[in-house]
Amino acid sequence: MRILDNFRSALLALVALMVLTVACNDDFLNVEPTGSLSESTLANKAGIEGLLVGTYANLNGEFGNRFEGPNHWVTGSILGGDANKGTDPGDYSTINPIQRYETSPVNGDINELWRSRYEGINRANTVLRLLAVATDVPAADQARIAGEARLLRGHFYFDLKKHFNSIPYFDETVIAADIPTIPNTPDVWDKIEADFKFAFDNLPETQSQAGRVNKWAAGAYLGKAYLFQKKWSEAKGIFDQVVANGQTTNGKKYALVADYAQIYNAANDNHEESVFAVQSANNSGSVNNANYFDDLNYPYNTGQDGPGNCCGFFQPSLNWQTLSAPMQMVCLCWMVLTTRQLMR
Amino acid sequence: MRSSIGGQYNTFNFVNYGYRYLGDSEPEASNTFSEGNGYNFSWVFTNTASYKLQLGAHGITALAGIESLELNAGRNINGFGINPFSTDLNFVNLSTVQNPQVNSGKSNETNLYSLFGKIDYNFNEKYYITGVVRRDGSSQFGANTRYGIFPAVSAAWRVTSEKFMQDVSWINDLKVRVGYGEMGNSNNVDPNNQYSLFGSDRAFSFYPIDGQNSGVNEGFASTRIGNPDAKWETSVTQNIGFDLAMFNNRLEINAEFWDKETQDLLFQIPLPGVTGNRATAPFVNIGSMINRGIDIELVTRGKIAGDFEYEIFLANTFLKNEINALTPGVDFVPGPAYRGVEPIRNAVGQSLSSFFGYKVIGYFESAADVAESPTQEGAGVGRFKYEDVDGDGAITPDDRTFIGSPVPDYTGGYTFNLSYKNLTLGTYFYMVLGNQAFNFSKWFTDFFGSFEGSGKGVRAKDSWTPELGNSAKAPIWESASNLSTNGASNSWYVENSSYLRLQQLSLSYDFEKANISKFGLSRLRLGVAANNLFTITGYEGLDPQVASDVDSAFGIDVGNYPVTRGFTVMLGASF
Repeated sequence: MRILDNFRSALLALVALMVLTVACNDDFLNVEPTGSLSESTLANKAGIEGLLVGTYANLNGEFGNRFEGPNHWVTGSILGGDANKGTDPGDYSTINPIQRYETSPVNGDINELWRSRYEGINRANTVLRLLAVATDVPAADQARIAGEARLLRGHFYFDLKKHFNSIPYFDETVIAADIPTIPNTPDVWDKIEADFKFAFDNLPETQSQAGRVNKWAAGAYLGKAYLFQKKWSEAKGIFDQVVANGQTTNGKKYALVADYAQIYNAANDNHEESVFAVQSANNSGSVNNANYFDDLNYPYNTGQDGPGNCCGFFQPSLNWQTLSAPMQMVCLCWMVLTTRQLMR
Repeated sequence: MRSSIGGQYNTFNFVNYGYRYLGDSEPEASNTFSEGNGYNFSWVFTNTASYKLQLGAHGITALAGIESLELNAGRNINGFGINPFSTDLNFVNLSTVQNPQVNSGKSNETNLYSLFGKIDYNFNEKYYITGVVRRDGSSQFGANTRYGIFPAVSAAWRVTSEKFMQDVSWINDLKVRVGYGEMGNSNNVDPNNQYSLFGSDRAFSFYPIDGQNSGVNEGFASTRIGNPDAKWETSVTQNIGFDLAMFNNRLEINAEFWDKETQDLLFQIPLPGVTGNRATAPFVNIGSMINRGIDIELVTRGKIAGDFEYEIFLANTFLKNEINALTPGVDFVPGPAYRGVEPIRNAVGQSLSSFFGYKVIGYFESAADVAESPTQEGAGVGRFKYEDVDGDGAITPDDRTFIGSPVPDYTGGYTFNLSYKNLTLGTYFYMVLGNQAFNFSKWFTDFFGSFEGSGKGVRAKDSWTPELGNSAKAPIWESASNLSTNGASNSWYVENSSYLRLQQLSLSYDFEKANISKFGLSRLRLGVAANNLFTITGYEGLDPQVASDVDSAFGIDVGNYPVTRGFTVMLGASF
């Protein structure tokens, strides 16, 4: 019986120990994440404003791939014939087939462009989704925030439509799990137009922060969407309004800059020709805010203070040489959608 | 009853100086400096109770336990800056550099909590049965899926304890083993896997919204998509084997056939491009994988003559690895891209990290050859000629196929020890057979078109000429880059990376106890050793033992650092 007694007491001790640890065990296995925010922390005015800035942040590309640049130096200028790749054939060789209209379906750079734009769309959708549930956003701000988010969403879809034609379309009401099941469709112009129209109707003419989009950027972009669909009379209608009444976010009436070179001078940013400009800055802690997508597009060895320091990409083509000087400038500087381009 | 508590506190710090280099066309423009430090902390607390009972021929040992682990709680901080006024080491710190940036991080612990029980039963030291059950919980998983229950059972029969074996004197011990067991694994899962999170980052969520040219405004974005349903990866192992000792224990043979199926394999599959995939993808239970193998160990020891003794230990493993299922809708899990080349595909029916690409059947030998062959992008004389796998008369992405695997068929470790009195000569060889490496370093060294003007390798001299034809080591030396040269993953990069390496050669001397006991020592050993003295291999890269990345992406040699040769002097003492 002693054996059994020992056994029994050992078992009792064990059970007691188990009960003790099991009792505190669920807490022990709940470990909070660090250095991050939950969606509920952001479902208010300050959080949504931050998410909106995060949506703007996607404009200059997302994953550090040069194909994502908003100026489309590869899929715009090189594909279009204004420019050659430059450098040597082995350097960034995935660009070579693009210039020959032989873009491979397995080219990973194209995938970067695709997922970068959809990242932007999902960010805009997150802003709109949280805007619908937040309770502390004043009506005027609601209209502005929704207008900015929808203009940006329209911008990203426009870009996808231009590049890929047939794409999946979804707005903020679609839950994430359903998004991959949405089929591609070429019929997305209506929705792009609707976003621009909403932005045109809801955005203020000027804003205190020059980097934001305004009513007239929306109007101009709506006109551009009409042009792509050959809706000439609608385009004329909206462009007439833009030309007559348009002004920049920082309150400058749309006009041509007197000195052509001042269009692209950083010190003269957000000037009267700037309809919708992707902002960039230095001293920001990351090259992603400093036109990184153009870092290869400089001559070799520009020295310690030169931009990029290499690599001889993006050279003017023979095609480009035959253009007039102002058109050459326009072709090489896709960075901003200017009034000049609107009037092309 | 037994309680044990153990802990580990690691701390690290680093300083890094980088210097300006303007020597070639792609210079390093700035002097750089960084430094940082951090710590992490882990502890383990184990309580077990065991009970032993002998009732006649029945022997029973029971054990039950509780274990908690708290792993990797820590903090770190580091800073970076460029171009200090002077590069004097005594001058440079984070306060004297331009554009200093500071980053820091806190990681919360990963907690594990387990209950386990084990019963050993033997009858007459002849039949053995062992049963184990454990229930493991991990903070890496969501509340509904965080516990897993893993049973295991094994049995053994000591044949030599049977009466009919008593007369067989040349067999000292023979034991036949069979087992079935389940084990949980959560190792590779991120501690935050269950949470969907937002965050801010200067690189991808900040933007100069004021239109300013210097500095940025804070913004937020999704940083992690959570999977609260992820659960324990379970490996189910079945094994059968025997342990045999013969001729006065001079020869031992231990053999085991095993089959391990890993179910609910935890993989981090990239999020679909359309859902926005800057955020980190969660680990999901995606498929299953089979490893099958045979382990054979041979041990022999004895005296040659007088004080000369030897010991030979041969460990051999034959392995087959195969992914046998992936979640419906997932055809494969890709690996990373290197310079636009994507060499890896994890797919059903293949091993982990299999190489995928075009199969090179030679070089185009003439313009006529190019014209007669299936159309191929960038085809030209002296360039790669690919196999038209699907036979449609054109080389398309559909012609890519599996072209190799970094998983070896065989690995072996061989120890040969010779001793004479107190002197021991030890050798350890390691051999790997039947594995391939994707020698991507050739992309840099064997094509003129890869960074023209940079340094090239010796195989450039054996690049394609009409005379060399298909015996050329590399395609024609030309300024070109396309699918038919250095623009695609193909079988030309895949090399056999089998090797035999002398990993250690050592000579040591043990001092006589009598001589050292007066210094209070019970053991004193002095020795010299050389590591990695030679390697026999046909592999053309720097080292056939290609440093591995994660399991789903290994075997890619981008010019990895080779294992170094090392020499050591050892002094071992016990008191």
